[in-house]
Amino acid sequence: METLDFIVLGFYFVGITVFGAMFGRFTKTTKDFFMAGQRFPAWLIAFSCVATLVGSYSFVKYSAAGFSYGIASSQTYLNDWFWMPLWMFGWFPILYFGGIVTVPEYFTKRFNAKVRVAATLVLLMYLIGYIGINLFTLGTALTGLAGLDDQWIILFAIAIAGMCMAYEFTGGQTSVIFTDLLQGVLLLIAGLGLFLVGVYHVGGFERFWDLLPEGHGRALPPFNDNPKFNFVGVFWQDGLAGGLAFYFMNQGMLLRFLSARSAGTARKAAGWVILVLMPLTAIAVAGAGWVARAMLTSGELGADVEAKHAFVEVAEILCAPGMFGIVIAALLAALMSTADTLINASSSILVNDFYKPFLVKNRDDKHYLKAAHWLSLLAAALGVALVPIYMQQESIYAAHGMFTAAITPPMAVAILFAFLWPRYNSYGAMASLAGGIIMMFVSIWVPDLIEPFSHGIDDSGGFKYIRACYGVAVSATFGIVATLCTAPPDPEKIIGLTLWTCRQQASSTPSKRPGKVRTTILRTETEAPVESDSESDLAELDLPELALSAAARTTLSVETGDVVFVDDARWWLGGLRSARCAVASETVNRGEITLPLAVLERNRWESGHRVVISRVD
Amino acid sequence: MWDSFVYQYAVEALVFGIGIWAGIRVGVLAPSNPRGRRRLVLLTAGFLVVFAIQGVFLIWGK
Repeated sequence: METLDFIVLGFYFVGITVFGAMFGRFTKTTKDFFMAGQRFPAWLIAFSCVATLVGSYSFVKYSAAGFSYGIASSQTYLNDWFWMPLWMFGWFPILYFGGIVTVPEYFTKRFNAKVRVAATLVLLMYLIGYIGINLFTLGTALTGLAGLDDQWIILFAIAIAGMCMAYEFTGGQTSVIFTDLLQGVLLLIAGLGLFLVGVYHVGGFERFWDLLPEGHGRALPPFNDNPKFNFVGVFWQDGLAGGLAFYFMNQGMLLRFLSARSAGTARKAAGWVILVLMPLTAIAVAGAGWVARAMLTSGELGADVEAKHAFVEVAEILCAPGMFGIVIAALLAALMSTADTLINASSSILVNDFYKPFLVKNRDDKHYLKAAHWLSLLAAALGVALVPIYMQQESIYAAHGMFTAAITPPMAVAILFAFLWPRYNSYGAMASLAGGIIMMFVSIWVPDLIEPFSHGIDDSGGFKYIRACYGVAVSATFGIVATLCTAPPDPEKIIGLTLWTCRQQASSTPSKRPGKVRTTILRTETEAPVESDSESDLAELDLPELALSAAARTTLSVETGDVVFVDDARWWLGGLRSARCAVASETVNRGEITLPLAVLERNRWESGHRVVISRVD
Repeated sequence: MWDSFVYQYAVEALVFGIGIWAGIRVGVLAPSNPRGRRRLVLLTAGFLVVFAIQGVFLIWGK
């Protein structure tokens, strides 16, 4: 790396930290800290997800896969849509309309406190271990780039954790979303730019395609030929267990979608992520590997180039000094954005499932907000504390990878059964979780257990991917047997907590009804100048009241008490200045609305300011 | 590669179908109302988009 590259990297780190810290003043409650006040539009949620879903080592890992196996490396990023009917209209509305923030919290309501404790422990071990891995990976990458020895890894890890905390401590989810937005855009521009420049460099798209070896231009790999990279194993691990875990279990992703201004907005964001941004991301993270393979065929790269170095090799050849720094910043952005998301997610579980129910009960929201700040710092500190352990014991680093692979299928099965199968009870959930995790670990020492699920894959690769199929099968079997051998849950207690009972909850809580999902009028918007004449104190109101004209009520299809979203007309603010309001009984003249003064002050609006009102559904 | 494609879409169609069936049963995807119909069309279109992308790269890939 040249001096200019280090200067670019320095600007990136300082810039992202200062930018993130600007959003601290938007966080006044725990709802703001974990769900950004539920005010963001679909485009912001979707773009911020890009940086989160591109995790540690994605560029290196998928470029290596792209180099070795061609465009089949995109399989992981293209296999999530089939979960969407269940996610959009089953799982997500249960959380959103039920006011549920974490998976363990859902398990308490659906089952009991014991299942919550089990899920909390498992998720915290996973999340904090993963923060440590991200910091370790970042430290290792920076140490390698700077040509320093390994002792610097811990210092870089502390510095990165400090930068994340500089904005995450006060800004919470709002800072995470806005920094992830920038980082997501940077990732896409750098990754796609590198690919396009690479294609141009080798002589255009036709030439690039010709240079790819036979078999590298297929969307899917062979079914079970290669024990180290086969279709069926990748499909079970990344498409089925991984996809389910990512959208249904990953606390960071759940909080991200819960930050949307409505359930409909979250669904739209998920659609954009899976159908548009993930295919683009697949190209961005693997494109350098495809270009490297074309360069190898043309003789520009030596035959001794290793797959894991494909990304850096291509970046070094194609980028001028300074540009290389930007590409490396994109690589580090992938790590940093995952780390800040994990810290916020860990804090949400620590507060909601540990501190609030067991340590300090019945305090006001300000107290829990303060706790959230400090527990996020604790999560980051624990992540840093793991770095020296990972440095000394590579087996522990590998063990966390094994732990992640081991908990994913049982947790995924427990969640899926919990909201799809009303008969599923707490015994079934514990059996799926405990039995599934134990059997996953047993299979590491007794791989023969996986043989019946191997789909013909040779065991020389240690059944690396197909273990997920075995995990799903044993976790489901344990859960089904335990459930059928014990009494079913009380139907009254699962109202609103399964796909089949969610409508019952709707009819009992009109202001949060999923019935809005069932109504026939959608996305109606109106514009009006604000006319403030109220001096009500926002703190005294549960939801501030908004008076609309009769015509606006008709356009929006709302009645008194319905919830609407008032957003600044400047869309690029991304909902930072906005308010969720209840429709008041009084009406005003056409083209005017009235809002409590506190709402105007909080959003720095004045009389005559343009706003956009939309129905929350 | 076609065995991979067929296996993938057989499993995915099963999960997708369960989701659609459940959505219709609880009413959010009911074809009897315009909103449910619109959702059904969008979900199915999304499924077919991914299906088409991977299918194209199998037919015309190398």
